[in-house]
Amino acid sequence: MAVATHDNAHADPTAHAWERVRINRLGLWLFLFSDAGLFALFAASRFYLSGTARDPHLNQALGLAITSLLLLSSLTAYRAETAFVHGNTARGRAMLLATIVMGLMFAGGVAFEWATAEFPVAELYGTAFYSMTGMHAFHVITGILFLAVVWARSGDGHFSGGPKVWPITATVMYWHFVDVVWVFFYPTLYLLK
Amino acid sequence: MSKQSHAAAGESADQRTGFTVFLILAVLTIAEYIVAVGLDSKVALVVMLSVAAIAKCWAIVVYFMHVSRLWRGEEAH
Repeated sequence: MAVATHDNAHADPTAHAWERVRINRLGLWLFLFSDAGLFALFAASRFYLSGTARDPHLNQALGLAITSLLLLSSLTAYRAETAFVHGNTARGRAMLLATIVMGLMFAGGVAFEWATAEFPVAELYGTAFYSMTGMHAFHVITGILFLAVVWARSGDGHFSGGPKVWPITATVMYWHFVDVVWVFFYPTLYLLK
Repeated sequence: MSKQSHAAAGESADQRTGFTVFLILAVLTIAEYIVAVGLDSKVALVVMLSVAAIAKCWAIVVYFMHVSRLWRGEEAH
């Protein structure tokens, strides 16, 4: 059965391309799973270092604002992917650009938080806060770079439907992963007390 | 139905799904914030925030990241 499928994939270029996508997708999920382990360790160290206590000087309004921005950027990333899947390149590119802009705004918000925070990195909570938001911001910045690359390459019809959309799908999946991490980091850092 | 209008209808259905999931995520986030501001019990807060975070994670992984494509395949979409 597996041999027959493999032979069919080589006989039909489209089937071969879809098989490549299936393998790539599995690889990406494995990478994301291993990366999630890293973030889980960061979260565990936050509870080990400072329990559930948080610093009273945290900027709650900023935390809620950047969280909302990241959630909204997940919607635009999803809309970009579905637009490319259905062959709507113009909308897909616009949504990619919107995602990039919101990602930059999120990174700017984190930078502002770092610049204005009233707790030092040497405090236990500060150590957890700066390391968790720093590692997450690094992923946001790499995500923005990936989004910028696929946006730039999408202009010449590079990702025109079918298995060719995979680079967009992979980039958008990575972006959603960054959002999933923040879904846990936001209450861990800002809301628990 | 022509191929183009079929694609447009498919895109429109996917977009509706996206908006619905975003609405759920937004409501849960606001609920998290309100609970965190108003609730004094540490245990209740941990439980409620954990439930909300897991629900949000599930929505993103299932609807935005299409985890089912791992075993179903994208071409079946």
